[in-house]
Order: sequence, then C-alpha cells, then structure tokens
Amino acid sequence: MKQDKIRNFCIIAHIDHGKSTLADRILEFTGTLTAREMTSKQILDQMDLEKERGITIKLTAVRMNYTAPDGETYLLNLIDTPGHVDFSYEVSRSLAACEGALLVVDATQGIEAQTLANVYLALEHNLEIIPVINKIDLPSADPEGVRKEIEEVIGLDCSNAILASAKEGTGIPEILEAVIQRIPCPKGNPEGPLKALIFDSAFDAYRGALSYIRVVDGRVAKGDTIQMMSTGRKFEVIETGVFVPSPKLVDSLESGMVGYLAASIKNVKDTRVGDTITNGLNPAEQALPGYRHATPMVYCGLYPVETNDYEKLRDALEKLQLNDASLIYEPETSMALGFGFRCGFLGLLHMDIVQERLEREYDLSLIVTAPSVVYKVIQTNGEELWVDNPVKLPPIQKIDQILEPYVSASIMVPSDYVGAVMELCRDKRGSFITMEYMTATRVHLHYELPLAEIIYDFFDELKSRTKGYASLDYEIKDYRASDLVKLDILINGEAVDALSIIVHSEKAQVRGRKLVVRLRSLIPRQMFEVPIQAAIGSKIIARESVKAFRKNVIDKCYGGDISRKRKLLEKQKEGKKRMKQVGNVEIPQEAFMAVLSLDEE
Amino acid sequence: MNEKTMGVYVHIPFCTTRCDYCDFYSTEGLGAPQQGQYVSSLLHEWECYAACGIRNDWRIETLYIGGGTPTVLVPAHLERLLDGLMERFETSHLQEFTVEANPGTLTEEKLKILRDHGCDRLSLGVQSFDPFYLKWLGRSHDVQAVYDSWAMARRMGWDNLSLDLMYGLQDQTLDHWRQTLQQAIELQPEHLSLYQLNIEPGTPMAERVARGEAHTVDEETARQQYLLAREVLLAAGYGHYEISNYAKPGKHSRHNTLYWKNQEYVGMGAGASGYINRVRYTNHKDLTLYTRMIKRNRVPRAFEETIDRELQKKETILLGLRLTEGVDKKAYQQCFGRSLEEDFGAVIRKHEAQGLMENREDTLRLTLEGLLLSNEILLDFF
Repeated sequence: MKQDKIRNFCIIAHIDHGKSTLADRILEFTGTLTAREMTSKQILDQMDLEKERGITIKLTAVRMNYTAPDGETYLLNLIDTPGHVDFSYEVSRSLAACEGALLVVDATQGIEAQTLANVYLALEHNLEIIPVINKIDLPSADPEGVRKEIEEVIGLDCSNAILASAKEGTGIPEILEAVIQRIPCPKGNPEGPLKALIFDSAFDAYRGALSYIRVVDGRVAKGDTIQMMSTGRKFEVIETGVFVPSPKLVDSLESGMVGYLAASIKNVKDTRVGDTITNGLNPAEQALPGYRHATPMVYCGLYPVETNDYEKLRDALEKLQLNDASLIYEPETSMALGFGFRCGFLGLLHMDIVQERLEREYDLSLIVTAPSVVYKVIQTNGEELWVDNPVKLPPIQKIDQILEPYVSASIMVPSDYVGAVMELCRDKRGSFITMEYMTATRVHLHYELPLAEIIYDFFDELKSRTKGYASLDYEIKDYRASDLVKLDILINGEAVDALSIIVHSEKAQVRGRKLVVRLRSLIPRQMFEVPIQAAIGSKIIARESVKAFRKNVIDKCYGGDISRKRKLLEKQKEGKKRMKQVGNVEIPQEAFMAVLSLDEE
Repeated sequence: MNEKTMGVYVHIPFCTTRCDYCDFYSTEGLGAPQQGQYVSSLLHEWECYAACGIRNDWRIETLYIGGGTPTVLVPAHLERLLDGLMERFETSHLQEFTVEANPGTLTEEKLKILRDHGCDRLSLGVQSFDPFYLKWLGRSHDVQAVYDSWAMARRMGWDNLSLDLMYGLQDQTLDHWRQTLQQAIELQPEHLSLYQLNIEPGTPMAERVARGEAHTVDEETARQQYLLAREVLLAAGYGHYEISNYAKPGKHSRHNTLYWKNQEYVGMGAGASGYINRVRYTNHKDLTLYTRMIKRNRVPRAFEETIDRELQKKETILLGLRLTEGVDKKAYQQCFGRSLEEDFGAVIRKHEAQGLMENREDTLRLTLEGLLLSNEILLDFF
C-alpha cells in the first residue's frame, strides 16, 4: 500500500462527549467490525480482547480498510490517546504518530476545559484538526453556538465542521470523507533507514514487551535486527502485526503505517514511549524528535496492611513494572507501618491507578502515605541530598537550605474566573508570569508554582473555583530554595513517621491544625483518651484529642440476640484488623492519607 | 438415655401497638382467629421436634413466654396455650416459669389462668413512671396501669415480679432517673432490668431521630445514669448480677442466666431463636410461612448455624462476662479441655493490668469499669 492511501488520526474529546461511541460507529461503518461483533462494551475501551488466547493487548491503535465513494481503498489507523496531565507526555507521543485529529465537541455542552490542552498539543504537532459537533440529535443541542465557540476559543475555522450523532450514526460518512480529503497522508521516506516512533507499549506474557509503533521512514519485518536509539540496545524482531481490532500478523510494517512489533524484549523499560526504533544494521543518523525519559515526580510509601503481605506486594510491583516503565520503587521501612516500598509516579492519577491495580488485580490491601515531591537539601557541610520521604530530612541544624521543584503552569480559563484563579495561585505560592486574552472571553495565564502545591489540592481547587472550566497543564521548570519545615504528627505522644510532611513554614500552622482535626475524626475512640499533636521540631503547634469510650456495652443480650451480637463483634473485629497498631493506638488506613483531603471536611 | 437440662422460650409475636423504639418481631392488632391459629401452630411445633428427631429426653427447668406481649392473648387462647404446653412438657423439674406482661393488658382473668398453670414469675415492661416519656416512647399504657397491674399481681399471690426500666431518654436528667428508680423501688420488685434506649435502625424512633424530632443522651450522661442506678439499687438491697440486671438474693432470672452460661434452650414460635445440639437457629418471622412449615411437620427454621468449638469458646466468653460473677473457669476447662489462660492469657493479662478485668481462682470477671467498656474488651477475645 502506498503512503498516499494511508491516514493516521486520533480523536480528541472531553470525557462523555462521545469519543468511544464515535470510534465504535467508525469501526462499524468501515466494516472493521459488524454490528453483531460490537458488544455492548465500546471497543476502544476494552482491554482484554484476546482473553481466549490468554494474552492481554492494550488496544490503542485500530487499522481499518475503507473504500471511499470514489472507489479507492484507504488504510485508516485510529490511535487512542490517554487524557490526563499526568500522561501529557504519552498524549504528545500518540499525537506525534498522527497527521490529523477529530475534535469531538458535545453540541449541548460546548468546549470543555480539558479538551483545550490536547487541541493545543495537536496544533503544536501540526495536526490537521477536523471539528465534529456531536450529539446533534439531542433536543438541547446548539450546533451553531458550539461552532462559534470553537472558532472563538481555539481560533479554528469551523465553516466545514461536521454535524454528527454518533449514537444515531449520522455524520459518519462525512467524517470518513473528511479524514480522506483533509488529513494529509504520511510523507516519510520508504527507502530510508528505519525510523519508528514508539507511542505506547504493553507487556504480553508470551511475547514479552510489545512496542506500539508508527513507522516514519523505512520498513520493519520479522527477522530484522532493530535498535533502540536512546539506549543502543538491539533486539531481533519475531513478529510484526496490526490490530483489526484483534491482533493480526503482517509481513512487514512500512513507512506511514501503524502497528506493533514483538522482539523478545523482556521488560517494557527497553521499549520506552517516545523512543525511536531503527534498524540495527543500517541505523538512522538521528532519532525522531521529542524523546524524554519520564521521571517520577510524586513519591509515596506503599505498605501492606497485613505485614506478611510484603512479599506479595513486592512481586506485584515487579509485575506491574513490566507493564509500566514509569513506575519505580524501592524498599523502605517505617516505624509505624513496618516494611513497604517508596514508589515514584508521574503524577497523582498515575499513583491512584497503580494503587488501584495493586488492590484489584493483586488482591492487596494497602496503606498509602501522603504523596511527596523530591526535595533537594543542601547540608551545612555542603553535601547535597535528594529527599523523597519527609522522614529522611536531616536534622534542622544540619540543613543549609531546602530546594523544591517548581513547575511552569499554563491555565486556560474563561475571563470571568481570572480573579479566582489568580487568588488561588497566590494562595499556592505561585508567581505570576504572563496573562493573555485568547478571545474576548478566554484568558491564558502563566504561573510558576511549587509542584508540592499542585499535588496537594491545586487541581481540585482549580476545578471548584472555576466550575470546571479551567484547564491546567504544567511542566517541571527548576528547583528553588524555599522556607520549608518538617511537620510531625504525634499520636498518644509518639511521633508517627508515616504521617510526617514537609510544608512551607508559613503554612505549617494551618496545615498542622487541619491535620489534627481531620485525624481526630478518623481515629476511632479507644479505651483511653488519645492526644493528637502536630509539631515542628519540639514545638507543638496544634493539639486535639480523641475522647475515650465512656460506655460501650451491649445492653441486651438474650436468647434471640446471641448470634446477632456475636456477628456484630466479629464485624467490628474485622474492621479493627484493617487498622495499624501504632503504640497502643489503632489507626485506620485512611488516616495515613488524611493529609491529602484536608479541605473536604 | 441421658437427660439434658433445657430451658424453653415461647414467643408470642402480638402487641396492642408497637412501641416506637422496638425492633423485636411483633404484629399489631391481630384478632382472636389469628391468635387461635398461632397457638395451634406453636403446640404443633413441639411435635415437630420429636418428629424430626431433635427432641430426646429433655429435662425442662425453665419456661419463659415472651414477646411481643404474651398477655394480649385473649383468655381462651391463653388458656389453650398453657394447657397445651403443660400437657406436653414434663413439668416436674420446672424451677421457674416467667411470663412477660405489659401493664394495661393484664386482667384478673388472665392472671388467674397464668397462676393456675404454674407461672411463678412476671416480668412487667414499665419503662418509665413519667407520662411524658411513656408517650414519647410510644407505650400504649399510662402510669396508673402500672400500679394497677402491679397491685393485682401481688394480690393474686406473685412473690417474684420483675420490672423493666429505660434510661438515656431525651433530655433525661440524673435527678429524673434517680426519681424513676425510687418509684420502682417503692413497688418492691424482686428483680429489675435496666436498659439504655438504643436507636435501632428501621424503627419509628430512628426516623424521628433522623428527622431531628427526637434525640437521646450523650455517652457520658448514659455512663452516669448507669452508675447511678447501680449505686441506688445496691443501697436498696439488690444484687447487680448481670450487665443490665439486678435482683434480690435468690431472685435472679434462672431462665436468662441459662443464656449467659451458654447453655442450650428451645426457642418456639415465629421469629424465636433456639440453641439445640450445638445448632443455633431462628424460626421464620413471617406468620404464614411459619404456620405453613409446621403444617408440613417441618421445623420452621429460617436460619441455622452450627457452633464449632472455637465459636463456642467465644460465645461462652461473650455471654459469661455479662454476669458479674464472670466466666466459670472450671466449667470452661471441663468443656474445652484447655484453661481460659491457655486460650486467652495475653488478653486477660492486658485487661487485668488496666483494671478492667479480675482473674480470680475460679472465675474470670469484669470490673465495673470493664462492664462499662465490655464491648471493646470482648473484641480482644474475637
């Protein structure tokens, strides 16, 4: 197939604006899947399509054959994109694998904040954007208003926006025609040395790490020796394939094509998203632009609730890492929580996902400590120290200064909310850089903010203060010296290491106060009064206490009550078992995450 | 064949009206025909035990008819029930025969029937001597009915009367509670049961609390009321023998003590629970279902659970620690072949050290503070 008959595209849409349904309709219309094969589940959302073969394939790119009304047959590749700032790098690699994008906007809702960042990212990659106004079948649809909004906010010509209803299947032929007519074909050099962009990877128990690739120049086939350009490591290709949407072997992947290759790569770390694959015997001189080694920005401690689950947790992390190159972990010990791991993540969502997978797929019950950024500590003897756990902070007299990571943040917001956002950024120790009006009603703000504030509650606050209209994107900028202190929590007089946090000194009082109040509500009453204190060094800055039980009796217990009361006690006992014993006090799991949700009282 | 000592509980699930706080199974306002049908079923249930091979040679020492309100049965049915039971039981070993009664449902006629059939103990649901709280609790009787019923029972020869009281009522002060206790003591009951009002989910009271129309007292007040009752009753010559129960010497409830010593008992009637041959069971609550199963000669059980050794140990402790004399260590050793210390040494030492428990030579018991926190202590044994 010649490159001029290939179109590679993705769909940019806000959650709920109909991305999955639209993808399904396109698969159906092109005959890739018949209506019967479409299960009630939406195809692009399915993760294990090939259960019967015992393998799990991440479905991120589907190949379709489409015969246009002019009789020509085209090869279309629909590439899926994740949609969160934690994974903005992954999104940018997926976009880099495409020449065009469908921008799907709900005709009843208009543009949503989260869509904007991805549209701008797509424009940065020179993608051709086809606006699709979806859900026009709904009575409250306002396609004209939405068309105007896209033009004003994004500055995109919407005169030929497509009106569609993915639910009813209207507009699908027009969309496909626009994909053919408006999205440029790939323009790589078919004869050049191989250059293929890795835009995703997955681990398969039988074939090892799979690389999801977009071939830019040259070709790759079974038996070829390939080389990863960032590491120089070489592998022999054992299989090339495409998803239709089930995996299907192909002889080779040519310039312009999208598919996967397996090369007995044991670990996904060796097939990093963004890296360029070239031919080992005839390597390209230069890698494709934009490769970045993703560094974990957020750290937290993961501990098994049951101490003897430690080995199980280690095995689970090992397995997860095979599938997730950006997850890192190392053993650590906490006085309060015992043996566990310090784990690094791309962001909070990434952290949540990993935690959930560990609990669901590996049946582990975990205690997660408050997330922390990595601090750089300059000690009085001149030595530098990286601190990813507040417990590891040296004694105050040995610290010359502490530096923390700052991000350059870009916030897009309707002009009505500019004041609210500026106030929030000030609260969060941000410094204002610039502000520009994109349209009469839409503003683009640039701030520099400490990453620690972002991972604390910035995103939630931003959403609530702007009714969800603001979008946030950020990238790490540099490290800056800040007036930071370690805040310790003492429960029943004992410092609980897993509850320590590093905070700005001006915020210590407020955070300490909120934290002890929150802990008071989370720690169940015991048979004695339990004081909860927040301290900086030896100075107590806040104190609360959990009152002791005064009367806790089953009043009535006669013949008819015995089974019921016994079961009640068994249930209470189960609850207690999930708690951590720190000194004499039983502390529930949520308490260790309390620092995260201080404002949700 | 070995005789087995047993208690029998008979449940009468009828009430004139249902109290706002009650989550016990009862049906209001059923007429005499339903009562008749129910009494027939109850008597038939006894036959089912023999038919199903559950009943061997039982030596019945205590009989307890509870509810609901057993005394809402009209005289004819009450008589038929008691006749039937007495016919079926070997009553020569009976040491105690209690009937629960609500003031306002007692008549001389009914009392005569009870007395003639050997009922030697009445337990009266008084709850309060204050018209406001009687109404607030949704009780169907007034204060005068309490005095009338009480006098009638005494007149007809009962020398073993118990009354129930409730504390922890909305805005109830310590003084008010002291006065209630005094009013109770003036009646010179042989036995008293005192319960803190507990808001059971699904009851009208729970709805009232949820709507903010009613509230109870805080934990500290409840504690003070508990302690006050103990002080007042000990001074009046009552013994505190179980978490919520007080009695004049020798007048403790034998039937209830059987529960707390984790002995077996037969439970009969819709919604009743029993414990026979290491199986705990609960009968169907639904009258139609209950009746239908009995008609087919089937034991009308809705729930059954076999109690293995470990559960039996836990239950022995859960129940035994309710008694102020505590768990009988010798009986425990005899039953399980291990001593209490072997099984729970660390837990016992922990609570002993905190002054919540006393490990004596032949009993393990809770101190007063331990009784107040017994729920927390029990969790350590689970």
